[in-house]
Amino acid sequence: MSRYTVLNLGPVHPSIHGILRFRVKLNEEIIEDVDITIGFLHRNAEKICELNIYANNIIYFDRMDYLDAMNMELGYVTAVEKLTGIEAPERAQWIRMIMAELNRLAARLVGLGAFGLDMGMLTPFFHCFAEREKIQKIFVEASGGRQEVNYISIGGVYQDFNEKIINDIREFSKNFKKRLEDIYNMFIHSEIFWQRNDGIGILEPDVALDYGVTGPLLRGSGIAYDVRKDAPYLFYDKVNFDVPISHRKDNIGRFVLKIEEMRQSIRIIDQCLDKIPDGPYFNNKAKKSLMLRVKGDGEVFSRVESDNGEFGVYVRGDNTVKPYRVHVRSPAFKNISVVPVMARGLMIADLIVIIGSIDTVIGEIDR
Amino acid sequence: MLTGYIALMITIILVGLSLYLLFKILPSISQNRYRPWKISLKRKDIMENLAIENNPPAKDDSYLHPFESGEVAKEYPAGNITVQYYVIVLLFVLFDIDMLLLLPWAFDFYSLGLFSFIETIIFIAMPLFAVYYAFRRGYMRWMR
Amino acid sequence: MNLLIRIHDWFSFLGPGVSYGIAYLLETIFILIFVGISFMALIYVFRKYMARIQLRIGPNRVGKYGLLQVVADAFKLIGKESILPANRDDLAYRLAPLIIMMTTMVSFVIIPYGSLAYFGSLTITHSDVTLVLLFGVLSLLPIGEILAGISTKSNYALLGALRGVAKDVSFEVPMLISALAIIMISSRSFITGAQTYNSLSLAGIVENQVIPYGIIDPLGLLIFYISMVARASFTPFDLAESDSELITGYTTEYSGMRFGLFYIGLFGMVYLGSFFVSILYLGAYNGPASSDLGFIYLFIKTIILVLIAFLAWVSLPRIRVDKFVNLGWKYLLPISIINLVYAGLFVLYIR
Repeated sequence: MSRYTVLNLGPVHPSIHGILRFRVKLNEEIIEDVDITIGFLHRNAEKICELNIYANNIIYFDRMDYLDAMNMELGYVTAVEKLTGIEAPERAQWIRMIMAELNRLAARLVGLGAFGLDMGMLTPFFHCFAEREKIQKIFVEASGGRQEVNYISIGGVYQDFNEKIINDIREFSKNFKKRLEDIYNMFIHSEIFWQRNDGIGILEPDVALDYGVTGPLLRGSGIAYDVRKDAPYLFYDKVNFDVPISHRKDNIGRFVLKIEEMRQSIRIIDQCLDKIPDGPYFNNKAKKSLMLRVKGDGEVFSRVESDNGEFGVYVRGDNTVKPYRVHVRSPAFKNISVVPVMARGLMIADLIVIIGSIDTVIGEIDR
Repeated sequence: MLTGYIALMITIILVGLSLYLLFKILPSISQNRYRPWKISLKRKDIMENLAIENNPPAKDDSYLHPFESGEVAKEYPAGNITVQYYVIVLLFVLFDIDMLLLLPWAFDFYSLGLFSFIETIIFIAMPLFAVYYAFRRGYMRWMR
Repeated sequence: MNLLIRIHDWFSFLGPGVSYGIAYLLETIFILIFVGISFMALIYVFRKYMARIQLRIGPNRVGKYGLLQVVADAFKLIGKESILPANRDDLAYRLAPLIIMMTTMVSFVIIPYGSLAYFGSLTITHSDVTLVLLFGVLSLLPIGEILAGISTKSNYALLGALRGVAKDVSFEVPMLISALAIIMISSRSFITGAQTYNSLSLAGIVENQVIPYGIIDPLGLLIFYISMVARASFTPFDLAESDSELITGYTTEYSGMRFGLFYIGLFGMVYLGSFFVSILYLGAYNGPASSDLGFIYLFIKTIILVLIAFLAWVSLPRIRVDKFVNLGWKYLLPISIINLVYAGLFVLYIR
């Protein structure tokens, strides 16, 4: 008879976000070790990308971080544009920025709601999803898709913004500021929320750097690293926004940081709406008929800041219409690997809250 | 004196009957996994269904295993129970017997007066000291 | 000339024992039906209330305004197959939901409901020790939980049962001590100042309650209400069946109507506990014309208490198990003993 109880959380478990298996070794109710098994949602996306022409691969990136599809597409499309030398017009780039920020908001809202659910708080989840619904209505108007949008394409975007979309976004950003404060207050004024999160899931900055953690998790440990600021893509150098950091290193810090980043995202969207120029939304060199013949040579690595952190795409072409190799640096994979470090010595309930605070998407880990 | 408890007996009989109905007769006239959906009041069908409800044939073995989040359980819980729970239950037993002894006192509280009140406070302070001791020695601290 | 007396008269030719028995039977059936229907209405109200807070519509398909949703759910649960796991301890597995259900149902019969116009008295268990009886019956709940936890060899069920028992056990002590304070206050009559001899029965406590004890003893009311919500596993304290870590705690291996019985039993606990609180602290069926309308006063007070518990359910996160146990032993227990001292001093000097 061993001293430890082994508890299986996942693959089919209500509070693991997706299908992921945590094998938790418990000493009484204290976590001794966490063993993570991934691969239940492996769809071989990177290999499938080698079989298609460049333009057809975008949908596989939609389905990686399915909550943050725009940023996934953006990562791939910027890599391919660098490789093939097709440039997107200015208006398309502004549109991409707006859509990326909107989708970041949508993904954060899901994360916040699920974070509440993990603690047993039902109400914020529905309020978050009501807001996400508005974002998805905008996506439907622009692309026809709600979640897997397939909107950003090589050399531009699928459709131009019309007046209705711009008005919708303006109205959304006006209402959302107040709604965000409501959702924030639902959490932060609860004494039990503080009890559950204060000092839980501490991640030291050096550990975070060792594990290659990026995104809100890294900024929550006090390191101001944001790809949008440190290696600007699109026009992120032409808008004003701050990169918030938190020195608390625990769940509360990360929660407040995520809310602050959502405020910054709204700020970016507002500026983009003011600065968006007229002009073509699509590069004529990248028309659908021409995409069959687009060839890429050499290798590129492009990175974007997705919801979970630095999302990098490596594409290598061998002067044919299909990529020779596509590889993805997925932030959620790196982020989930620090869970054992953060959860050791805590209780099972804390492990659940930590997973909720990291907010991973399994589709991106397994690809 | 017994008349006061007639209602309780009636309830126990009624609830017992309704639960019997719930578990024996209702499932036996409705669907289950092994038969197509039908409600039948024929005696033969009810007897068959009752037999299934009491002792279902195990067609799919893994279906009947304890839930392990989608994995097949390799080992069953061996009975390692957190020490904290024992401490809590011990404290509870202490206090519960204490309360049992205090009920008659509370009933007669006014006529017993101040002296017995002070005695009772001292009497309660003793198990309270046990709680204090448990906290002080860290038996109630879960994370070490 | 209300209904009960008439029935008693009709059957008086059979002798006093039989006619009393028939009247009791009628009363008991009335209470059980009333509890059942109001309980279903309460689940409906709860679902609508929760839905409104969460920007949803709630049940609106079955029947007018979804009123029959609960009935439909009950039929669905009955129609489902009850899976019997392979490695179960058969007797314990079958007994556990019955214990939970029976405990709640029997407790509802012990409560004195006052009286209703045209029907008569609804206080059906005439005993001198109903308070002790109620505590005794309620202490069967942890037995049902632990049986459910250990009867199937599942880790989640075992951990959930342990937590459930820790929950019941840690909050029973402050609850009992608060009730002790009420017995003490009730042991001296307000009007005459003499000793009363009915303070162990719930009906006696209500009778002595000239002004609600909640005003005299607000600390006790708070402790008792929190402990009651905790014992009913409502959300800040629902760690026994916490969805997020242990699948559904000790009910993980149950399905069909057996799961439904757990649900009824534990949801009924908050209803029962609200009755209990409103009897001990809020004056129950006292009020103007209480011989006719007493039952309605009790019902309104109870529903208000239940709605407060619902509000806590929808708005609060779940408390962690160690903090939870500490809440019982570290805060509520000393406060309840202070409350006991206060009650003693109140009875002896202040009254």
